[in-house]
Amino acid sequence: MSRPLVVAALVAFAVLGLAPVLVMVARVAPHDLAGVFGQRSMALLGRTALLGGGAAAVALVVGLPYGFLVARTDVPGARTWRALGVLPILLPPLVIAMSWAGMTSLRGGLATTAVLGLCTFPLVALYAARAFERIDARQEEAALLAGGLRGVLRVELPLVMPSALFAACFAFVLAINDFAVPDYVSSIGPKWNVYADEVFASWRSSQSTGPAVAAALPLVFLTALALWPALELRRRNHLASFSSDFRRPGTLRLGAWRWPALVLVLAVLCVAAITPLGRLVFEAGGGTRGFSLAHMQAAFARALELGRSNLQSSLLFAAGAALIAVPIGLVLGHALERSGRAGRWLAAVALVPIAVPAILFGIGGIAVWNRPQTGVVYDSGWMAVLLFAGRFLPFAVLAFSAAVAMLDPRIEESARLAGARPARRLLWIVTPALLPAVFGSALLVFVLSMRELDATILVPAANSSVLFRLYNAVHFGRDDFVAALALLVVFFVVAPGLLWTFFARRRLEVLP
Amino acid sequence: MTSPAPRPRVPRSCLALGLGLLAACSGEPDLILYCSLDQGFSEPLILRFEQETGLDVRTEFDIEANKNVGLAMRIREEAKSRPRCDVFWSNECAQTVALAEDGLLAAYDSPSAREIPETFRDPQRRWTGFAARARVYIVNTTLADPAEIKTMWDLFDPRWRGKVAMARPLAGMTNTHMTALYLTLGEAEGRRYVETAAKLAADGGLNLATGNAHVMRLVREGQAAFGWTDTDDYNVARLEGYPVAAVYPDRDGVGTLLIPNTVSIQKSAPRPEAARRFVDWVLRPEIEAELAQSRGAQIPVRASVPRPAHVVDATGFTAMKVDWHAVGQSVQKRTAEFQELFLK
Amino acid sequence: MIAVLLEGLRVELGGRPVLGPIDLALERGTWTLLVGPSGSGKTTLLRAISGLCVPSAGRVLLDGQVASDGARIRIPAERRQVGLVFQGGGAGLWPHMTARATLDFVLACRGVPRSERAHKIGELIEMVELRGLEERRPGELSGGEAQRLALARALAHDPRMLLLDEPLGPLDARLRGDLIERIRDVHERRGLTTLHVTHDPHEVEHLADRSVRLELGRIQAEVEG
Repeated sequence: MSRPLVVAALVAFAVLGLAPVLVMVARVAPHDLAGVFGQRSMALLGRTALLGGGAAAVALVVGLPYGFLVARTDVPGARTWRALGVLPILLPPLVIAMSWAGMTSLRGGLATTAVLGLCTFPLVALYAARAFERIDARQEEAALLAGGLRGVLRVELPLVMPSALFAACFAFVLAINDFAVPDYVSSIGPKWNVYADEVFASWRSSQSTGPAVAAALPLVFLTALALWPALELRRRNHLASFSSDFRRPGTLRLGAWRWPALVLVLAVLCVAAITPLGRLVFEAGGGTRGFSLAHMQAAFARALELGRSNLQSSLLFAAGAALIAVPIGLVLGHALERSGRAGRWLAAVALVPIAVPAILFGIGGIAVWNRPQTGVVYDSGWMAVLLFAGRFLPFAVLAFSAAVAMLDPRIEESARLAGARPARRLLWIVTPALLPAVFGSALLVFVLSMRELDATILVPAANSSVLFRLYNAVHFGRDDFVAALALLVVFFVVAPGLLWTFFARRRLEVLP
Repeated sequence: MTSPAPRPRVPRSCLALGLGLLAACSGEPDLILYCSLDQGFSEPLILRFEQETGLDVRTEFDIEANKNVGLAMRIREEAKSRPRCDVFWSNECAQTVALAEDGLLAAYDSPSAREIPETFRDPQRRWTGFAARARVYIVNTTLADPAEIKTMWDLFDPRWRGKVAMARPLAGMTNTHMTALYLTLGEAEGRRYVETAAKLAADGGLNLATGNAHVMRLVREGQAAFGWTDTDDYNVARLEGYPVAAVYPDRDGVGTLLIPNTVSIQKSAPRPEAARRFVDWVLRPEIEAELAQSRGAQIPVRASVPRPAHVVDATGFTAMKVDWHAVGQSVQKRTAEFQELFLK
Repeated sequence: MIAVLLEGLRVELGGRPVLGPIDLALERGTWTLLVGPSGSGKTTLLRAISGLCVPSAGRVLLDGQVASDGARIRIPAERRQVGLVFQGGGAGLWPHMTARATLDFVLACRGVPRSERAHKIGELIEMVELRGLEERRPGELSGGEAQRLALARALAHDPRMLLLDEPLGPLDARLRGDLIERIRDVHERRGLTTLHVTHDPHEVEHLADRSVRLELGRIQAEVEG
């Protein structure tokens, strides 16, 4: 890759993704750290780690079999369940928490752990599915001959485990940074506080930003602690990759277990996606106070009428962020994968924007962009775009690096020998060969941007976003409107991925 | 001749996107207003101000999820490099006072504020309060008799153990409310109240909701018998037809806390003239009357302002006497204490 | 005239020495066979000459010009004018491009005007007998066809030397004979310097001017053909 291109991408990444974080961290004075490591906050941190570990374990226990069943076996409708299995990670965790808290008396730490585990299980399922698919047919057939389905699982589980653990690390990170779910689920009964509460409360109790940023550091540390093994697994190439003479494995026959397996898959889907969505539909139609189709129609009409411009803005912001993140992610992801030891550092640095709490990133964004020279950007919709792009670039970088890892380097080398310069190779050789990853990363950034609120909530453009409108309406108690608008958001978040899944010939490469 | 690959149509789509994004927030407005009163209540009024004055107002709202901290935080941050807000219309008082304390607000004695009682005005005129919300108990009338609930201490009555709710006092109105109690009840009693709440919450005797709107939901759905909330949240449940009543506690004691909306002009407001016009406009009695009529049922602080029957007047409750200046000064320190008590 | 001169060339991969020191000179227009067991460093040597891997020591000179000096690359791979046919059936072909687009891309990289490209592509297609398959992508070609396309691609930019990494590997006996005849024809017509890695020297030794045996990263023997 050309050095100027990499440098340009690095500069863009530094401005968009690192500067907001560094500006804030620079405000921490040594004395701000004094109160951070007290007994109380450390106890909170311990509980948060427990929550993360529990949620990751739930995600692993649910995601691993789910991924196996939908990717490799003849469970009826596997393809559909595989596509729909992504839904829970696209729904705001609070929606899932609210629907289950509303219908059951599950409360407290265990319930919180279960909800966050269910929200993040698709990560494990996706990675496990990919890893199961990349087991060579010959290896599998040998295991099948030796020990049947049990033999296959015994041979393949150790091969798939690193991928599943990698995803579980991300599930851990998502769980420990969430404060809305623990807060909501333990609102009846003993309160179950987590460290993310401490971070939020510190913004209000601190005289200046230094202590508030300092309060976030233990959580950042815990996040980094989880991302480190994930990066190690990647670096050591333990994630599924296949050799050039790879033979795709066939579908495994479950025999009598086919229908029980279907029940298991549907049960997971029901708990994690269909029930929360169903509840939204129910509420859009009037809920417990009288459900009717006419009511639902009216709610959707109102949501479209009032939320149309917000939906447009959000789509524009998210599309803009995806367009910016893709070229930068492509160049950096490529450099990360192809540059050996330097790539290791780049991978660690690339994760910084997602390792910090969203509120810190957002205020950092104000500090960086609200200046006389960049005021025009700050006041416009670009601000939301740049913040989204900066915050979610790590996912694009990692997704591209994963895709480049699967790309035969000889494809680029032969272009090089043909005399193609780096930019030309990138545009004409690498990009077309990575098309599913290009679309996949764009989609990933788009989806994350559509459902993100916290990082941009403080900048002017946030006002016109659809999530802003949604959360505003929550306060008004207009449950039918909120439900209808939430369903519209879910539709726009899910639609591009589903369209690709069902109509494109090549599978979407979206996994970081 | 075939070219190696189709030429990507990036430039044109990028251009369209860029223009779209600029259009999303384009043009220099005549006034930038930061508003943390719910968009649904405030937006129609702001629109009318625009129509009446011909001024172009860019309003930036806050949301419940931010618990009223967002805009104040943003004002502080922007003031460091490039102040852009002219007027801050806050739905509460403590953050505004804190901003005034930090020297971020300009003094302005609006002629429209003449009738507003001094308790709701900054002696130095850096902010003015109007259209208040009361901190009340919302009671589910199928689970509890409102007549039996009289004082703030009833929250801790063993009878209601596990059936009462409040929001965690780390942000929002509950934070302001608890801070005010230290000043009204005195340090010892205020601490006793908050510590009792924290202790009960830790073992499930008191349910801690995510916010006041959530307290309202818990009560209207019968998951709690009663709990602390604001009158606007209560009014939403009332309008939806739920079996709820509002109790204005401590009529014979310290009284009920009224938290006014506050309006203030930023010290470095880029458009001070328009800012003053807006403040004069929004403080007019007619606006307060309209806010009383709205779904938020804001309580006019001027006795002369007409209000619908469901909005209380001075005869319906005893107003707690509050030194807002002292509340604003102590809110951060108290929040740090609440953090110690409630985040365990 | 010496086309390729290697002086004390060493290559390390991941800190482990895999090649060298190698001292070797290839005369212009000669065909040299590079033989040796798997892992002896044959492919690495081709990559070092082409500029695709960075040596740890020694020099590579192409037509008297220093292409690399120690770990310092003086002429990057894209400017060395070297054609390389990778090991495997059409390995390294661009999966998204048709045969015609592949050749067009190479010619465009070399700055051949658009008006001349059609003619040159026709010649190349003719040479490797891919007529009628111009609009196919690598995935739609058989192993032999793909390897012929790889050869046409390696020759499209008028290289001064041709590096062949077991180009006949996956092909059956008839195709192997056919392809090797084509390569020999081009080699002679263009006066190319060819370095040919093979694990089956008997098949092609009648073509070669010389044979070099590599073991454990070092030259063990040189045999004039």
